[in-house]
Amino acid sequence: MLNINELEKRWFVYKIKSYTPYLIITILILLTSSLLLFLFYNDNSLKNKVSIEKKEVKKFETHETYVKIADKVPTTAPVDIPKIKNDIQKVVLQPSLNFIDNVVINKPETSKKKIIKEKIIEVKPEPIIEKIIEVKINPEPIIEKIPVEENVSLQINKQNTSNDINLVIKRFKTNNNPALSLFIAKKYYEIGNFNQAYNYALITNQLNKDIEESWIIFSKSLVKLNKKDKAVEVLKQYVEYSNSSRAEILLSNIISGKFK
Amino acid sequence: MKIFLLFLLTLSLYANSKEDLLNLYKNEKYENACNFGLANLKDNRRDEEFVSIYALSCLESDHINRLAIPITILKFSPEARANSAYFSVILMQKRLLYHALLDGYDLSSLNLPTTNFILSTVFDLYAEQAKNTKNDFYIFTDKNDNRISYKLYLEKHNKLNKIIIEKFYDKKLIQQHMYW
Repeated sequence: MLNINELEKRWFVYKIKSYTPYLIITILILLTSSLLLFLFYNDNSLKNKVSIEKKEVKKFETHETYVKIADKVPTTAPVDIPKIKNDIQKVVLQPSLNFIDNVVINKPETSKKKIIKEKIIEVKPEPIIEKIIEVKINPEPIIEKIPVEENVSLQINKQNTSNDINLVIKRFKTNNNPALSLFIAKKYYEIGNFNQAYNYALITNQLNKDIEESWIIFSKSLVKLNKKDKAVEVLKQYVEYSNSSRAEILLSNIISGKFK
Repeated sequence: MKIFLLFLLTLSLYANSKEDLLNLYKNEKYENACNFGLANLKDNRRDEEFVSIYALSCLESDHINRLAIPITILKFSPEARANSAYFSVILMQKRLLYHALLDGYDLSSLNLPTTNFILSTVFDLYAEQAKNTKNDFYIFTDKNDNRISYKLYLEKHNKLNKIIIEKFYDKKLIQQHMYW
């Protein structure tokens, strides 16, 4: 009879023995890898320690001024830190306005018609410009030749502002009141028609030299028409004449380029 | 086709609102531009140029609290980020100045970035000169121009304290700003 129990025990021992080399190899691999990791970590931490020490040394060097002050002053006395702090220059932030000149507006077709309408309205007060040419002394008159598109249907709808201006122009022609011409100049400036704003401000100045607002509109229009030098010249003369602080501020803004 | 037409229509509407806002801004109608931008902000949130112009208009018309939304929106382009940082500094300085004037918070230990905006100028002058003092009003002279001076004080409007900054040129009042 075979002793099965004995045989099974022997088989079990044999099986375990067969696995031992694999087991030893895996244990060895684990040990070596853990050892390597440990060594690598130690090396890094040493390096970090060295760099931190270096940084501390550097920091110490940069704070030399503090140290010197502290050496001179007794330990109980407060160190004058704010003085040193004031030496640090502040960061000045500025808005980025470059995009405004490059703003791309996808104009719909209707907007084209709108522009044509505005142009037609602008052409109407031309006779006044011719008058200005005769009266004006210094600056050259600006006469714009705008091609008028022959489209009768477009003339039906006018903007309210232009209607107002036309009414005031009629009133101004009858009574030559400088308040009215100033109003027209302002309105033209508001809608961006700087040529007409310039012309009416000039008329106002000729009618009454003492209206500050008119000189300001006149100078602003000149700047908008790329005649900065003339604007500066006119404003300087006006400031000398009137000592106007508003004109002076505008003058400094134009010179510094704040007003464009 | 209908969808395409609808897209074109919305595009044209957006373009119009941006154009209107830009025109208002260029014509120095900052109050109108700020209100117009606020009304159309919902439809133009993704247009950083629109948001920037809106925020700049609000800044010029003393609606600084309205900068909070543009500050969070502006982040995709370098210009937008620059503007966002600029607005953040001004908004922060306003809140700090308000806290300091009302509760005596000491600003002298702060070293913040600054801007050329009037509120920043006054904030810097206050932080440097008015430490540990509590007055009814403060008068500062501009560092770059002796003829320019600023008056800073609090005023109560409808049970709410508001910061008033007045700018003088040769002792003549030329600007008045109110913040709260």
